[in-house]
Order: sequence, then structure tokens, then C-alpha cells
Amino acid sequence: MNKEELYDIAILSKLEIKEQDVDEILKDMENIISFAQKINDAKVLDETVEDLNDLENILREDEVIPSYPQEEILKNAKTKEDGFFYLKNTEK
Amino acid sequence: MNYDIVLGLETHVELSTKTKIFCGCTTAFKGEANTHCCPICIGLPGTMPRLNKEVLHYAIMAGLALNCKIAKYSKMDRKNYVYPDLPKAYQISQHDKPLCYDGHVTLSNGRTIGIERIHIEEDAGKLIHEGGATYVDYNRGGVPLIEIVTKPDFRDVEEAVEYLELIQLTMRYIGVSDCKMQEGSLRCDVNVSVKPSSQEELGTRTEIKNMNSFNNIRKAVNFETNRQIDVLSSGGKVIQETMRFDVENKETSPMRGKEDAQDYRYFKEPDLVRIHIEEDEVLKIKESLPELYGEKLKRYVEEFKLPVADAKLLVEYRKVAEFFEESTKNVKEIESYKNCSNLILSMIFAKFETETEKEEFKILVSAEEMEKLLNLIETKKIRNNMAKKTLDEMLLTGKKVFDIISEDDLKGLTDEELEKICSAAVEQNEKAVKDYMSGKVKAIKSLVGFVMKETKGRADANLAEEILVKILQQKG
Amino acid sequence: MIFKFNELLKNRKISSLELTKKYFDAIKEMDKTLNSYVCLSEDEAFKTAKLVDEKIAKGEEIDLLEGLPFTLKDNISTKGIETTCCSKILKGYVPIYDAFVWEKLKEKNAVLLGKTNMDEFAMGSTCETSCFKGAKNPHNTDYVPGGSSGGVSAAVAGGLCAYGLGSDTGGSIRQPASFCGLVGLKPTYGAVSRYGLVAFASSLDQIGPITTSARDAAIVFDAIAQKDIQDSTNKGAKEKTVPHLNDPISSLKIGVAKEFFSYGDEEVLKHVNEALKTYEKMGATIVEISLPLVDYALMVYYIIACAEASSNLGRYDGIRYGMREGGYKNFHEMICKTRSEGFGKEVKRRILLGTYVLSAGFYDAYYKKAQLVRGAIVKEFRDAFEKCDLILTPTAPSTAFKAGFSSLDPILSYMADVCTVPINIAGVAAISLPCGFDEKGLPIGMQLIGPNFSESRLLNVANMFEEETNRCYFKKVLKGVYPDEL
Repeated sequence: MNKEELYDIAILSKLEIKEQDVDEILKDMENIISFAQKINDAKVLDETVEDLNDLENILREDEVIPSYPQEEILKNAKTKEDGFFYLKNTEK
Repeated sequence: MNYDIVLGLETHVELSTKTKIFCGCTTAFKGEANTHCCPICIGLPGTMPRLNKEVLHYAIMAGLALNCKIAKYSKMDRKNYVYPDLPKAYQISQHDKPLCYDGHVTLSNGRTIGIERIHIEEDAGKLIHEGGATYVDYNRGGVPLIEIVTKPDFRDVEEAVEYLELIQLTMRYIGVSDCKMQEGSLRCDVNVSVKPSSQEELGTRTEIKNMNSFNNIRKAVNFETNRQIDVLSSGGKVIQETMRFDVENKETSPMRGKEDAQDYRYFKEPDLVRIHIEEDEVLKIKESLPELYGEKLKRYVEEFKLPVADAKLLVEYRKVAEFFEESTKNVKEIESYKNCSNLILSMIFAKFETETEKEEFKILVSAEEMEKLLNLIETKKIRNNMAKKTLDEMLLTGKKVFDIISEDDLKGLTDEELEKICSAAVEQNEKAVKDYMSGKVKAIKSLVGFVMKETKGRADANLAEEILVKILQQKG
Repeated sequence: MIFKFNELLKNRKISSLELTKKYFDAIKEMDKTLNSYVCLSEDEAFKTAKLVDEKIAKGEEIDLLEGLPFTLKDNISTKGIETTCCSKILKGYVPIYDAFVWEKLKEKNAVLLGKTNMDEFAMGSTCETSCFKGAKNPHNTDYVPGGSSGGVSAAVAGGLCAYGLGSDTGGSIRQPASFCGLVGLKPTYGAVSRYGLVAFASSLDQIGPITTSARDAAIVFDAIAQKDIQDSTNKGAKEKTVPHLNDPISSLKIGVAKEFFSYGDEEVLKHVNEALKTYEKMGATIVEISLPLVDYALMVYYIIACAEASSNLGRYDGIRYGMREGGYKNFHEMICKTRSEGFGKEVKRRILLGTYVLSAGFYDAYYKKAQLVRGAIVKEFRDAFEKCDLILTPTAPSTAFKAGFSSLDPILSYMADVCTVPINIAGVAAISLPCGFDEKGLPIGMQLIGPNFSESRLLNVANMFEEETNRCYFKKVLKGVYPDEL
């Protein structure tokens, strides 16, 4: 993994990487990736991915269940307004 | 150089199930912000999705209506991207094993458009940007969608628009969606590419996102194809990118910056299990499908001998067509289909102001009563104008046919009776008689009107006019 | 222990309220050192305790778990009680709904004392990645209690609750149980509902009990392992386990796979081998088996767990709940800043890795390959259980680590999970139970692995070992609350 790749992955992950941490994180990632790469030594004959359990078609009937009160839904929001989750587009 | 236009559509259709795809919250369109929400559809930590059975059912219906195959095994996947309207930061969708695949539709010009796949997924919430801030409402979040993906088979934008209209009608027909573009229950992304006519392989495509009216599609596609042709003819290369259409400036522009780089990192949704649909279940659904728009239209024209334009109007709304068919199921004369169609189109449609009203087709007249009325016309017991008047009253009051038309009304008039009334007309309408005599031939009409009124429409107007003329001639 | 407490309550030797107060007193005295609790729910606890006392006063029958104080790991959703996963990003988050397991225990009037410490988002083997600082091992407070359910283990081992529920993604119940001399059950994938368990890796996570005996584990498991329609991957347990606790084990075939014995410390291996001899003495047969792909389980685990975690943790964006970092130019920056500030180092490391293995160009080499190997491991275990009833291994290669040992080399600390991880990969059931102490007096645990939905047999075989050895491997180490001292 190079710096460029790390930054791309960070953008997808929505994480900031500070310049001073880059080297350490790169080293960690290198380390873990080369460890994970060993998976390719594993000899697997069957090319199908098995489901972990034999469950299928676990479905729900189309019946309305009362929704939660608006104030419960918004209870944990940092900022809310008029029944909406609210977010300033920029903040200093 | 000549360029060919190649278009493909990805259409999102909101399904009209009662509840959301993964929780029991209502899908109702209206409602105060964040009142159709629960821990599942706002993605609270620890919550898990539960797949709505009806969503599978509706999606399979849609697939069959568009001639798709139904996958025996399919699964749900996570499509990962972060945006404030997506509460889990992934959309539960289908990636490599869609529920329906390999279908097609035929356009009026005879060209076939391939349907690559139809998959089920959840809708996102709604963002309102106002005054430097964003308001988030998750009522729409988790409403079920199907995404219908065509092959790049359209050769011009009108074909694409016709296809969309067909999708709209078909989905309404089978009752899986109301497909209202203005409410966002039908949206589409258009893939646009151009290539020199001499070239076999397709050009690089761009994708115009979130189109919500036929007109905008026309404008956007025209702008974008011209842009691409300009790029190519000046020796440049089209870049594969996602575009947005700016309605005000009528132009397309790239949508995303680097920080929005997309890599959806699809993987199987571990919180849901495999979907398994057996052939006999598909057959059952196939059998339950109503006759589709295209087939019905053909039948109305060929079997009922209706003009294409009239047939289209009847067939467009499923409930109208149902009413029409129910009312005419026992008629004997081919003319009666036309009578019924005329009454619906002239009398009943006149009562409706909006598309929704036509679609819902809520009227006070039952098909059974309509059938009685048609029978009276067929057996020549009443005439068209009488039928119209009666139907008008029925629509207004909900009265039954025989509450309005009495036994007396149905008795035919003897010639004697008619002559008597005609004589009375001449006696009681001095002015009209005078006018007629002085050469105003038209005045005869008001005398006929008098007769019709007196006979409550039972008289044959032509015959009445004949008699009146005779009397007047004798008089003169 | 649960049985004894229940007797005391039923015979009115102590009221539920008094018992609850004793626990809170003990917590307030000893948890300054242990740091096992991150949040106390006194109102909730006293309310329930009073209710149970009224029932007893009226002469009504009470259930085994009724009126008995316990704890939940802090990644189990509790309506009205803060649930943080010991992450800064979720500080202040108060759920509006209950996890299924808590609902089940609530129905039984179990008394929730509070939420316990854990590695942030259950990512760790030491409890030290907690934003509340790590918990300590009651056997020696210089050592960690293990992780990620370290707080539950420390609290149970320290006598600061009667039992607790943890979660296990790669060993997070069994390893801390082993480090603290307790019993920890990782149920079969699908036996216990995950609804309300804050997801780390959805295809691996399971909730299970941490207790002082196999019997207690059976009682708690029976209470929570019920079918739940809210979790589509859930089936519930096959049967009640308590009635089978004393089934004969003479015909038992125990499999031993060398792959599980190649990492362990000598002392650990010695005690596990002694346990094997005990089982032989009790009539069991030892069968040698081989599970060659187990060597790859750790890589499969890190790829799959991180991939799923990167997706599961995407939702912490500061909009609907949890912290939000100020000072931003747009959404993207707000979300990035919030997550960078709110998540700890290990969590960020795993999110980055998970994003990487799923991203275009790397998916096939990592994630897809890991899925294939996982499938093969599932089969390998299935085949192994054709040859034996259960497999016995050490739970961890070593006893508890000294506090501060980890975090230097991630790979080295990942290796501590080498014996527990394959079980989550295969989805099967496993239990850890104490089988000795090392020279430092720290507990050693052994792991019994069984096929899918074999919890009854596992608990039975564990219970018979405890009875055979007179429960000599359970040690009271702190002045907590114990039934025989009331």
C-alpha cells in the first residue's frame, strides 16, 4: 500500500489521516495486509461460498406496525429543528 | 460525420406495499417529518432488517410483466456509501444475483428493448437544503424500490420516453406502484453515449442522475448528446462520469468531486438470509397477473372495434377498464361496446379533474347499473340522450337506473300518442309556429324539443319532426 | 451460584432489594480498582428488585433469574440506559429500544446493575481499547481481564454481579472467561438473537453468558436462546440445556487437533492435557483429528470481520446520534472529523483494512478468497464432528496479559485469538471453562467445541468436569457478593 492508496481508502472510510500519522498507519497496514495475504496460500478445492446456516426466505408479512413518536426518533440527535434532523452545512 | 445516440435507462419504481421493505413503518407519502420512522429505518445501532414478503411478490409481478426470468436463488447485498440521507451508510440492495433478469418490452415502432435486470432495494431519506443548513427527514428511508435496468437499446430519446410511459402504465396496471413522477415514485437515471455511425462498438457513457419528468429527460439527453458529439468531433474523449441536470440552466454537469469517489464495496448482507423462489410459485404469480396494458389495448381495438384513441383512454387506468369490461360482459350487440365507451369517456370522465381521480375511479354508479342502462339502449327502450341524462343523474345522486326511469317511461309511444303530443306542441307554441311559417325552418327544433320534454325523451326525435312538419304543412 | 441465590431469595434469607444494595456497595468500593462498570442503572435495578420482593411477599413463585442482579456488556442496547460500546463516538447515546436478550431477562425481572466495560466496539482482546480505560483482572489487577467482554468477566469474577452477558465475534466471551477463571459460552451462530447487539461483524457476532459455573451458563442460555423474528438469522436453541446437565458422558468421543496445540504456553498445554486425562478417567475416548485449514482462520477472520465492521461502523456520522465534531466546511469534512475524533486507533485500523479488502481491485484476492476458505473451514469442522462429539483445545495460548502489553504490534495481539477465532468462522458452538492456574496464580481455560446447536452437550460435558473436579478451579478472589457468605 502506498500513500496515495491509503488516502483513497481513508476517503472511502470517511476518516481523516493526519500527515504526522501517515507513516505509522502505513506501516501498520502493510503489516496487517501482508499477514492477511497469506490467505492465498490456502488450498480450497470448492469454489462455492457456503451459507453459514440453512435458513432461507425469512420474511415478514406486509402489516403496518406503529412508528415511533417523532421526539423519540430525534432524541439522540445533536441538533434538530421542526421535527427534522438538522445540520449546518458549514461550521467554524 | 454522423453520430448514433445510444441510451440505456435505470428506472426506480417505488412499490406501493403498505409497509417499508425492512420494517413495519408505513409507506404513506404524506406525513410530518420523521413520523414514519422506527429504530430500524433510522439505522440505530444493533437494529436488523426484516424483509417484507410483499416486496418480493410485487417485484416478481413486475418482472413477469416485463417478460423477465425469475432467479431461483437470489440474495441481498450491501451497497456502501456515506451520505446524510442514508442512515446505515449502506443501502441494502441486490448486486450480483438480482431477483429478475433477462426480460424485454416492445415499443410501438416494433423495436425490442432488452431488460437486463430488476432488483429490489430500499429508498433513502430526504434532504432539504435551506439557509445554509440541511434538514433530514427519514420518512422515505426504507420505502421499497425496484430498479429496472435496460440494455443500451434506445436509439433516441423519444423511444426512452415511450418506454417510461409503458413502464408507468404496466406498473400501475399490475398494481405494484402508482408511478407518480411528481411524487418521486418513478425516477430514472439515463445512460447516454454517442458513437460515429460507422463504428460498431459503443462509446463511453455518462450517467445523468435522478430525472423526474419526461420533459427534463428530453432536455437533458439533448444537451448531453450534443455535448458528447462536440467533444468527439473536436477530437476529445468523453469521460465516464455521473452528471446532474440543472433544470434552470438546462444543462448537465459532473456531479462528484474527489471526496465523493464511488466504490460501493458490495458484499452479501449478513443480516438477511437467502431468497429462494420455486418455479411453481412464479407460475402462481404469473396466473394471478391481470391482462397487461398492451394485450388489453389490442383486444379492445380488435374485439370491441373501438377506435384506438378511445381504447387507449379506457385501458390507461386499470379500474376504468375493469368497469368497462364488467359493464359490457353480457352485451349482445357490438355497438354496445362503443355506447359504453362513449358514456364513460363523455359523461364519467367529465366528472374528473385530475389524473388521480381517473385512476381511483370512485363513482356512485356500479357496473351492474351501467349494464342495465346499456341493455335499455341495446333493446332500443331508451335512446342515447335519455341514457346520458339518466347516467348524469345516477352519477350525481347514486340512484339506480330504475329509480330514475319508470315503467311508463319504457313503454313505447304509439303513433297516435305521438301525433297527439305533436298537435299539442303546435297548439301551445304559437311563436315557434309563427316563426316556422314565416320561413324560419329552424324553429321546428324548439317544437321537437317540446315533444321530447313531454315524452320524457321516449319519442323518436326524427319521427316527431316528420309528424310536426306534416301538421304544419296541413295547417299552412 | 444462581441456584443458591434463588434459594436465599425464596426462603427470604435476603430480599432482592438488599441483595441489589449489597452489589452496588461492593461495586462502589471495588470498582474504583477493577473499572468493570461504565454505567450503573440503579433506578432500573431498585425498581425491579422491589417488584420481585413484592411478589415474594405475596407468596408468588419466582423464576431462577428473578430478582437476581446481573450485568450487560455495553454493546447491548438498553432503552433509557446509555449504550456506548465504550467508544467516544457513542458517548451520551441513549437507545430508544431494547435488545432481544435484555427484553427476555426483563420479562424474568432480572435486576440490571449496569453496563460493563469492553474493548471499543468489541475490537480487542484486552479491554484496553475502551474509551473509559481498561478493566482489571480480579485475580491480579496488574493484568487485563481479557477482551473484548473484559468488563463482564471482571465483574463476574470480582463478585460484582451474579452473571453477565457478553458478545463473542472471535473469542470475546471465551478468552476473558478464560483469563478470569470463569465459564463463557459462545452459542452457535443463530442460537441467540443479535437484535440490539451493536454490530461489529454481523456474520460472526453472538451473545452469550459469562458465569461462575456451567450450570449458571445453562440457566442463562435457556433464558435468552429463544427464537426471535427480529433477527432473520436466528433460529433459537434446539432444546433446554438445564435438564441435560448431568447426562452421562461415558460414551463421549473428544477430538484433539494438533493445530490447536501448536501455539500454547507450556503451562497452559499442561493443564489442558490434564483435563483431557480427567475426561478419559470419566470414560471419554480421545480421538486424534486434524483441521489443517484452521491455520488460515485468523486471516479469514481479520478479512471478514474488518470488512463487515467497515460497513457496520459507517453509520456513525454524527447526524442521528452520538458525538459530532465542530469546525467543518461541508458534510464530508464533518463526518470525517467526527469519525477521526470519535473512533480509537484500533477501530480506525480495522475500518481501513475492511474498506481496503472490499475495494475494487482487491475484493477477489481478499474478501472473496476469505469467503471461500471460510466455506472450507465450515466443511472441515462438519467432517471433524463425524469422527468425534466435541473438540477440546486451550481457550487461549496464554494466561492473562500484563496491562499495557498489547497495542504495540497488532499482529502479535491478534495471535492471542488463534484458538477461538476458528469457531466463529465455522459458526459452531464453544464453551470455555477453567482448568487450572499458572505459576502466577492466573486462571487457565480450556475450550470445548461442539457442532451446530450442541449447547446442551457442551454445557453437560463442562458441568460434569466441574463436578468431577469439585469446582476446584473456581476461586473467589475479591470481597464481592457470594451466596455462601450471606
